[in-house]
Amino acid sequence: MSRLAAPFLLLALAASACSFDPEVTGVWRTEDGATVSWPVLEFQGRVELVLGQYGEAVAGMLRLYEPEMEFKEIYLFPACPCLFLDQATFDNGTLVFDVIPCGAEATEWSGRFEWSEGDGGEILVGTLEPKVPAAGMEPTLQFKLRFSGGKKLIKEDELNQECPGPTL
Amino acid sequence: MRLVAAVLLLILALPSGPALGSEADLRKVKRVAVLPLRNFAGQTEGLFLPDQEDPLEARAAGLLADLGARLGAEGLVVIYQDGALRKRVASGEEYEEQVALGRERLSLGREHFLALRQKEAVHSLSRAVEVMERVFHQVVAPEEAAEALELWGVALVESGLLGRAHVAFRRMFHTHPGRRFTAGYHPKPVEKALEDAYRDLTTSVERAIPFVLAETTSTFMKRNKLHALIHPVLVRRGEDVYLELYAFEAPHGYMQWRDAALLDGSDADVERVDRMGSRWLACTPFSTRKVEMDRPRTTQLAAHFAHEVFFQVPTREFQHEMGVSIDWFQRLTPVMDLVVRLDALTVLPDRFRDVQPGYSTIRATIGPLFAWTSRRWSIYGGVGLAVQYIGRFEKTSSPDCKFWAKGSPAYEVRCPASDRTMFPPDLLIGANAVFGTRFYPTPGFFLSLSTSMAMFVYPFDRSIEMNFPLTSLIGAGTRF
Repeated sequence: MSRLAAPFLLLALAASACSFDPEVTGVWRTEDGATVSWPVLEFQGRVELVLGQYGEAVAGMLRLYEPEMEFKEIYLFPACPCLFLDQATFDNGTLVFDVIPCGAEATEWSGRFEWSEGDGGEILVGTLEPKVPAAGMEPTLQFKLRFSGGKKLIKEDELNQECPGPTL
Repeated sequence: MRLVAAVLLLILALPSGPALGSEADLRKVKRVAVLPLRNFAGQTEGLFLPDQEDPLEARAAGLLADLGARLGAEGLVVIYQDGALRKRVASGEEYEEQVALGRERLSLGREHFLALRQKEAVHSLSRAVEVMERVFHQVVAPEEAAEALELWGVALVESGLLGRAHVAFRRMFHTHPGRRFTAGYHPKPVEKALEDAYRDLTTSVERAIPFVLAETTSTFMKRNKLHALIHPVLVRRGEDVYLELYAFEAPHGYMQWRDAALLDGSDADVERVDRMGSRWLACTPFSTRKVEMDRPRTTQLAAHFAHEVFFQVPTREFQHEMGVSIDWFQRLTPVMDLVVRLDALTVLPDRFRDVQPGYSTIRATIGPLFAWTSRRWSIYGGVGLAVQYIGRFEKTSSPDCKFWAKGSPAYEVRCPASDRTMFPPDLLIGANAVFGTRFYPTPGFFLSLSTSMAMFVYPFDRSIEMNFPLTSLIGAGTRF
């Protein structure tokens, strides 16, 4: 973005503040003490969604951390640290996306999360489930993510670490 | 950024209109009093003859009244004479109260005099004169003021105070030179004192002074809010009678001008007196105040905040831009100006962020404007040539191309070249139509509001992706 836009962007943002449409741009994390179990990855730990919203379209990734308290790079789950989101949208308070977890038999999973706002701030509550359920696989992962910070927390130099993602 | 800073400095440096306009000195109207005519042309021998109307005195009074009316009609002075002057003096602070007190003292003094209590009479009568003269009652009712002075002088003679009596009688004749007496009414010493005082006054320069002391003249003008005073007197020079005018200026009360005109009863008197009045008007000083010259101001310079929206765009939403604009209007004819305008804007991100990164644009327009202009408003419209430069930008609808940092491995994986379109820098040329209005709270400063629409036709190869920008401007400027 051109630097010249900065002072006028403030005006535009101030004007846009008059009508509030929820946005998901930023970093969303599982709460302290909460863990997510993802048997297919043999993962149990904390989850982070890093998102950028552009109209209804959303881009970003899902990052997995070992159960230590800090969301730091050193705690990224080695077997599958992050997953690109695909076909992600946010519309009418609902975030939907596809991910392909790591592994030879990786299959596509779909995420569906509802945005809401409470006393503690904004939260996304939803599920991850395989598009094609397989026998013996936990069909649905349920977890809650809390908004942890805006674009400032999206550290571009930390992104894209060991992110296999779908092969194009 | 440098361009924006330069334009902002220009806004701050806009000169104020009045500093560049020219001014003229406009005369302030003077308030001038013309005192009642005093006739010092009489002979001492006539003091005890029956009162006869002096035809020259009546003629001089009439000429003075006409002169006052003519001078007032010129618009440079406001003349107070005769009834208007009496009314102005009598409306002063404490006037009625002091005159009532003076009359009371006069009555008491008369009582004492008739009862041969000369010492008490002198005291009461001097007090009566003092009180009346304090509010310049002698200008409103000279006969009554002279009566007090006469009685005072007589009491002083009867008291053996001849020196003071001489002064009292001089003041009486100075106030009312036409005062006459019945022969034998007063004792011989009083009659002699009257003759001596009259002879002394009519041959002295004191007749040229309205209130004896310059300080008193100054007080009179200050009390009645006057800028000048004219003291007219009739005097005899050998066989001829002259109307003399003496002019005094506030605030000091000193004589500033004097002149004389022969009165011989002929028609030439009118012209002589009229010329004398014109000479006074030419010589009397006027205070001035600055006024702005109402001259045409042909150049206008303004700075604005600008908002622009392109209606033809390669993106999903209209592109809004904001920036600054400066323009220069030069009056060519009473209804036509030549305008040159320069706009510098930068694009604002829309909700899709399809433009990556944002671009800047500069437009120059030139053309004639046709304006209707009044004292406070100007409404104008016109068409001209527009040349616009749009900087390089990339367009994409892929969220991954917007999210991932350019050049990062994820960007390379998630944002293929097919998801992006590069738009190189572009130069567009076309026509621009503008409509606006300006409000001038002062002749040199204005507030401005305008809107314009451009239509680009060059390049001619139909490769124009962005067209039909609508620009709105609000700002201020100076006219000189």
